[in-house]
Amino acid sequence: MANKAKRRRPEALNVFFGRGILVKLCVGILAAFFVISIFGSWLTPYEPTAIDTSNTLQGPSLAHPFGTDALGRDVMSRLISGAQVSLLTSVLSGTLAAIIGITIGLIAGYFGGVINTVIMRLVDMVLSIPALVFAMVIAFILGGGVPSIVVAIGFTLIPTYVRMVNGLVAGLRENDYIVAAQIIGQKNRRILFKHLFPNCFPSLIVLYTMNLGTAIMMEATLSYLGIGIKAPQATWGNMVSEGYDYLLLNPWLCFVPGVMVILVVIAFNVVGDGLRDSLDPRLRGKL
Amino acid sequence: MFGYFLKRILVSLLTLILVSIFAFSIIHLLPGDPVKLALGEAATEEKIAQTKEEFGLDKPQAVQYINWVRNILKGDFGRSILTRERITDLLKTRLPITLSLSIPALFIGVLTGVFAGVVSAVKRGTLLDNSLAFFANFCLGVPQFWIAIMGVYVLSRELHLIPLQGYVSPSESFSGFVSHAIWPVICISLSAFAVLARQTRSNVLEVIQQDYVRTARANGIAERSVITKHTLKNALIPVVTLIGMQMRVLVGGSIIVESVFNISGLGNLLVRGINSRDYFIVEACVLVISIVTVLANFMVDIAYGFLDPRIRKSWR
Repeated sequence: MANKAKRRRPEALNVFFGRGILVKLCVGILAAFFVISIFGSWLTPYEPTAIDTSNTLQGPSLAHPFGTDALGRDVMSRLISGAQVSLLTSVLSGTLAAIIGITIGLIAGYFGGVINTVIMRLVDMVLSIPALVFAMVIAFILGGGVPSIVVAIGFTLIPTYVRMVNGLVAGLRENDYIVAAQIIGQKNRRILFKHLFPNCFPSLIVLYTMNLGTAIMMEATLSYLGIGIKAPQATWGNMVSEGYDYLLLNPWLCFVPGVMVILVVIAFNVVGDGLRDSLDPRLRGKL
Repeated sequence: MFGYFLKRILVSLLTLILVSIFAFSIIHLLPGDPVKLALGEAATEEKIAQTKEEFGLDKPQAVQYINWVRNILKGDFGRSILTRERITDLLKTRLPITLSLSIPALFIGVLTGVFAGVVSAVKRGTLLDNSLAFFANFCLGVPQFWIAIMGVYVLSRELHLIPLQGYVSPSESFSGFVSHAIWPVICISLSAFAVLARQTRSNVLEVIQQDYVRTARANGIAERSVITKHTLKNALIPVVTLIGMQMRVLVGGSIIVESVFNISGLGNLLVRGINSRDYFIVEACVLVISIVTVLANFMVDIAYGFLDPRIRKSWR
């Protein structure tokens, strides 16, 4: 078993990186995103919220590589600060959704019957409300700020995990090794988490990666609409929103934060695509 | 087929009931006293009690829910807690605006997406296929508010092709509507385009590899006919189910775009309701938006029933 895993791993890596320059580029973008976010506090040349009224709406210069905004705040420092918020909210909400969604999906798929029907109807209900509206309402109920945004985005992502795990488990539970585990009297919890969960893992890694991109997009959109994380905390979304007021004077302010979102979200999608092809080729085109 | 219809109707109704319970629960899930929050710190106890009585918030929750649903079925969504405007009137003016953006976006997104997907699959591996895949990936990764704003800058400021902001109703002036709505509609349709292009491409590729397509080719049937008659008919039926799901994404897109272009549609009303803590407006918007998406899904399911011969021909 161990031998087989060892032989398979480099092959999967080869498939992953063999998809050309784009995947490598995107892995690079994500690596930079993680490093900049994690070490951001040491990298920001200025305080992201420091106001300097003598230097407002400047274009790019040596002192301010991305210029300054309407209050004279350094755009580069704010971008880094925004990256931290994006990483934090996406990882936390993605993980929250994964934990809850996978558990619910395992239960729904394994026990089937009434439990399955009830859970899937609730999932349908959530899916009939536009994700953005659902997240807005949850954020509204919880009152804004990072924790409530994490919960709001996490809740909208839960159905993706429930559906995927439910579908996978419905197929897996007919396998002989599950029946064998039942016959020797293993506890349901052990069957769920020791036998079924690991078999869903390849697909789940792909979904998790793609959901990080979705979460970043959602956070940016909520912040743009003024429902997410409020000023003065810089986020990519509210930077675009603040920059929109000065679009005709300095379009740069709107342009740059959006490019950050695009780079990171596309990178997550491309890496997710690559992982899917290398980990689970059967899923091609299904996610 | 009758059984299929009945099942779809029941599922849609059940979903609507669950959604209405969710929408109704919003005000009750808020921490603290919602009326006190809405009226502000300065409100007296007497004023709060009076407002609660006016909106029926002093009754048990089950009674409130039943009254709320009963009034909505009569076409009365209640009044705004802040301005006392009739919410039904607000919805009547705003829902058509949102639909006038999202329905054209649905058509544009679906038609261009399916077309692009078929072209990519047929011309697999060519430069065209790769560029379309790249463009679809871009559409999925680009924030709609950002592309909308960038379009305003380029198309409106630099090229003077479209007006900066605002909305003109099609009944007022159709050309005015088109010039105001064209860029917002394109922005909304991007995500539907991307999803459908990718899904159509992979469905068509899957069908093209089937034995019966190979047999058709081996029998010397013209390539065009192999693609249209044997491949597309089978590949596009599953795509239909995706269209219903897109309405949900498009309404989300409409909220964003309405905010960027300052269009007073349903999305704008929802954002306003949330920012001013006007609960009944939020509840009504969530409910109406969900009804629209449930209805869209239902219609697509019915269309699917007619299109898929396995369902159409089973009279059970």
